[in-house]
Amino acid sequence: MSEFLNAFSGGIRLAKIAADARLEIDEVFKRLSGDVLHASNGVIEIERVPKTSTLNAIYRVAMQLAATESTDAESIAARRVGSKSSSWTHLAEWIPSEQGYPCVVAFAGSRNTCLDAQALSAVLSDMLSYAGTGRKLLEIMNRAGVGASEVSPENGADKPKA
Amino acid sequence: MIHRASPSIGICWWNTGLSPLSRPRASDSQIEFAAGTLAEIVKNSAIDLIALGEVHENDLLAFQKSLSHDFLIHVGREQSNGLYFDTALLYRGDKFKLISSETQTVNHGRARLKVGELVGLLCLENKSRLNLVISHWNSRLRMPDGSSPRDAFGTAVKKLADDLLDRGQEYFMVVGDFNDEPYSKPMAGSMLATQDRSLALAYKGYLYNPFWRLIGESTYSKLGSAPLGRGGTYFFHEDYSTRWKVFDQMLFSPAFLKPSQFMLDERSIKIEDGGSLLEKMMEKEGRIIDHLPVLCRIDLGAAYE
Repeated sequence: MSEFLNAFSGGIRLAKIAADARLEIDEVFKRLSGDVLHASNGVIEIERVPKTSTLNAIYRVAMQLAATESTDAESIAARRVGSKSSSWTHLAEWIPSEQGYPCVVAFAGSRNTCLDAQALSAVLSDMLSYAGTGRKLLEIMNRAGVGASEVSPENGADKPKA
Repeated sequence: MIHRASPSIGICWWNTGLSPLSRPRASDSQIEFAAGTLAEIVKNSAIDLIALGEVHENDLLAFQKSLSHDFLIHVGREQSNGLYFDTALLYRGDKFKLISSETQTVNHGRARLKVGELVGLLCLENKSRLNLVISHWNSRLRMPDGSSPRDAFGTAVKKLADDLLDRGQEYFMVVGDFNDEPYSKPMAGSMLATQDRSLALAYKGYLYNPFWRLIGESTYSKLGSAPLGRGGTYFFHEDYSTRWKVFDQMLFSPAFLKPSQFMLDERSIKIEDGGSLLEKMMEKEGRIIDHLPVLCRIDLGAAYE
């Protein structure tokens, strides 16, 4: 029976490392979401969601029929706080790993593999500063009646108008 | 199950040295020499896909003009998140359709590195998708052997290969100038690019690297004669130990090793040193060509019916 002891403890050790890495990644996303929520004056939330959540019903069916993409693909997506679950806007593709790292953020024709939390934070910052992402976030804010002029670059948005 | 015999495609990678970081530095005669050399290779080896490094759009136009068949030019993004890409693809428009392209970066702490460009091509002959990564990894001058960012290159390519496989895309090739030898840690360790074909076939997650067998002198010496040969793909005059390196390589996912839509003809793997390429590389003054092209052939099979 002892032949399995090393394998067992190795698996447990790796599972703990992976769990720590996933927690670390969750923290990065929590900071991202918190900062965007603050900067958008409480209008926008950002989450990792199944990619199907960012598609309308017709695209969802087409994707399943074409089978060009795994149906468990994930998006980094934004929506107006409190809106219905089907209204996520896709910002980037999110490709996690069982071990936490490496993980991948793909947007604007670029696939960015991240090997640690610092790298993930930098890539997510790039995603936010990309013009295409800005346009999508602005659209969400406009729909919510919060214009870009109400967002301060340093401190996030001013308080909403009464 | 019917498997029809079909033609083959030729693939070439060459780091031309003409325009590092896409900044032109070559004279007209140097561009002309490179274009003439490439045209000869394409003609003699029936090349259909030409992946190139250190090129500028002007170089590509000169190449295109000198080629006998109609080649289309694909220049990936020159700049992505502060990184400069200097690779490109020339491809036969009557044989391939370009269906996607995506730059690849890897981020490690504060380091941001260009891994390559993933190009998706539809082969019109067998209606199958070929995924090609064209890579030009950072020079070892700024990022020496054994530095951990170099390992990140291999980790990123492996993650990409695994993700493509998860999506059912099994034909995945990586070509380029890796500035690393086949036995280096980023290639053999992080990327699992093995010289062991059986291992690559037996276990998920490996790539096959046939360039191990091209390490070493290409000619045999005899008493009284030492013919000019080459010991790799890249020649660095100033190196204190071995001036020749096998930095230019082609790596294959295991699907290329069995009867399928794309089958590697391993005998075709070659470092091209014909014409006056070797002499050009040995020039001590004013030379800019320091890499030799590498070639392979892929036999095409129809999809199994």
